Amino acid sequence: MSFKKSTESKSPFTTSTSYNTRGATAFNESWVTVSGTTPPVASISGQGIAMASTPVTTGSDRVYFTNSNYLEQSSHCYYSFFQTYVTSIDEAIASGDTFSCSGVTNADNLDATVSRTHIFKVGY
Amino acid sequence: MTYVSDGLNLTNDLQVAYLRWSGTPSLNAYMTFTIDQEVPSTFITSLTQADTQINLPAGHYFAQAYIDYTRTSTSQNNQFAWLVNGTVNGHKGSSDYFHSNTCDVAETAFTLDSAGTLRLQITGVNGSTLSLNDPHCVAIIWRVDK
Repeated sequence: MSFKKSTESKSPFTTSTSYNTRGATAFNESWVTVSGTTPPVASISGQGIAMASTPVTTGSDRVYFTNSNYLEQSSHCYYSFFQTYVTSIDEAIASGDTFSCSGVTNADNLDATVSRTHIFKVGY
Repeated sequence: MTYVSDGLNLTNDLQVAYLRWSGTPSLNAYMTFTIDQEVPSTFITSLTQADTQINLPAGHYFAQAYIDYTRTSTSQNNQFAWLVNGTVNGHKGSSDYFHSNTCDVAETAFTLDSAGTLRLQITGVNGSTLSLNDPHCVAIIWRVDK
């Protein structure tokens, strides 16, 4: 696999730097733009692969990227008082050029302090 | 044979290193690495500091650390983080949802303008120390040239 260079200095790897309860609101590379808040929508030039790990602050949920709604593409998480067994938090995954998170039961409960989304830019 | 470039078709090959990590996960301890494979070519310069330090060349990186463990109580939880050039970087990982401030995989995206170092440190222990399941604790480092 190869990445086409956009410049000599940009990284094809980016990670979220801030979150709200519906998704990532900012990233650490300038080739990602984010619009909206409910949910925020990340857009990139070309194509990429996004991964999100998303604990919830209450209840449980299956979180997925819009248009990537199969179970194996979703992350599964629940909150418990004793914080046990939630290492089953896994990652939602999607490919494309726009990325936003959706939840099946509690769309507004993503943990804004620890959730994260990464995007690998794989082409133009 | 000679190819004439149109000047727009520069590419960067993706490299991936697959490592395993182990050790006693006590507070502030650095974990020990072994390199399993690097594909399609090697890029890790060396392991030093008793194999707790990964020495890397300049480049763009994305590093992930996954934990596998055995514990005797659900209150035994660890938090761990990547250190880039000695400084905690990225999202912390945990054996569980540690004190509401970690997720389960430690991940960081960073760029090294020159040679640098990467280490994995235990940054939190909740209850008594759990046991890592060697060799199932895994680290994956993605790289492209800078």
